[in-house]
Amino acid sequence: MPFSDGESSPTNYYNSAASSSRMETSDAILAKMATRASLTADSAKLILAMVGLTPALTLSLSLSLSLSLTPALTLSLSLSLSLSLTPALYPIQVGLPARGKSFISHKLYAFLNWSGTRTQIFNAGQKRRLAEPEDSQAVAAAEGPRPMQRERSAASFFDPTDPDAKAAREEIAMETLDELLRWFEAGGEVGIYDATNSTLARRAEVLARAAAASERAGHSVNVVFIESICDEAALLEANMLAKVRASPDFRTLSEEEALADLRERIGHYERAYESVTDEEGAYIKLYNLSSKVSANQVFGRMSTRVLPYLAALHIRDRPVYLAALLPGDASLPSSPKKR
Amino acid sequence: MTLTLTLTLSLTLTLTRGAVLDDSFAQKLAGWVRAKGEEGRGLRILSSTQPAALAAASAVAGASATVTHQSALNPIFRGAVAPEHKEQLLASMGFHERFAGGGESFADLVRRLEPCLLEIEASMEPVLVLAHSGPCRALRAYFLNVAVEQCMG
Repeated sequence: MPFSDGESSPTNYYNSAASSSRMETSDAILAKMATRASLTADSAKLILAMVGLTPALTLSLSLSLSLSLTPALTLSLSLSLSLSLTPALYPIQVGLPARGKSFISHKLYAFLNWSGTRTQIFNAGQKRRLAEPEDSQAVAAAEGPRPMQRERSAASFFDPTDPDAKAAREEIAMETLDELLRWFEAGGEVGIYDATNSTLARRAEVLARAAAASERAGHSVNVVFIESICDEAALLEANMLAKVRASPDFRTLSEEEALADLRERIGHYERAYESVTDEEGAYIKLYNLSSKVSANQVFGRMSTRVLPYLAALHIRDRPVYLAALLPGDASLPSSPKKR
Repeated sequence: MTLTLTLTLSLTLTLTRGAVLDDSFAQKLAGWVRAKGEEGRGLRILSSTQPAALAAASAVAGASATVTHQSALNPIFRGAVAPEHKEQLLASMGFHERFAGGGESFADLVRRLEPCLLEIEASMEPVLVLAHSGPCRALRAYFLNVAVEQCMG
């Protein structure tokens, strides 16, 4: 009797006759549930950290939107939304370059803002490009491709064995993260941290900073790593080509040179790349453009909204037509009736 | 950006004029879709449950098109306001302001459109959404990456 006044005992779904004997919950199960409880805070700020190698999936998504209100007024606009390298979202992304991080960041940004969540993308790559000295850009533009002067875009900048370059990259990434955490104070809800986040150490640093910030501010800050994994060679090649064509890093190079530079850059990351593990906490992994999605410890109001959206994403080109009809008009004598 | 604003404006204008949908619209739409040649790719039609949309959907639906009717695509519910004030109110409403008498706000409309948006995003085929001014404006704001408050309130 579930609602009797007496001592309540949990229902035994295996054998209702034996429901009087209370079942013991093992410590292991309780420990798992405690992890989960710590992730379900409703008031939590959320960091969606992108994980992955840098070249983003900058396939342009072409949409045709047509709005027709009456036969007389048919507005049709065809546009190409090029979702390139200027993202502003708050999940943290993990992943090697050319695996679609910035694409995912942009889409999440559009979706979360649309559905009423204050969302912003914080992109380390963009910051790196901004940090590049002005004059070197000017010189490079004036004198053509000169890799030595494109310091922070050239592959050598991404060499994990070069301590100076590593420190510089680290500094830029952490500055970006701090910016994101400051933005939470200003009322932000979901921050998308679009950086490479490809090593355990870097991600541990992100988690530590988020924890420190949540203690300082008194609200909890959750981190979900979003890892885009692309291991099909054909997909990767197509991606890299798109990246080379769209990224400002490569505008002073020819296509072959740029591809070579990008391969080298990816090679640097791949050597140091560590995939997100279960021990690191919440993650969502997307394999080969969402053909497979795996999630770990994704609970909570915001994170559970991100998951179905990411599962829905794909990059197939197709038009979307919107037709706005006048609602109440049932007087359509010549039109076919619904059965 | 300017283009988008202009579009929103003209839509609103037509709405407030209260233009009447003529009965051949469904046929014209069907012809337009055929001309686009999207049917061959397996067109996906998402339609509201309003009579006009139902009629248009059955006119457009060919052999390869699949039709789904969703009440989430219905126009904003305007509560118990006297009909003569409704249009006027719609133009002056804030994004979070609800229609009196149990009506919806634009924010409510966006919220209920969310599953529908996921369906559009997930579709591999071309999509035709047969809805109404409010839902269409909300969806367009998402696809054009424009702040939805700016398009609707």
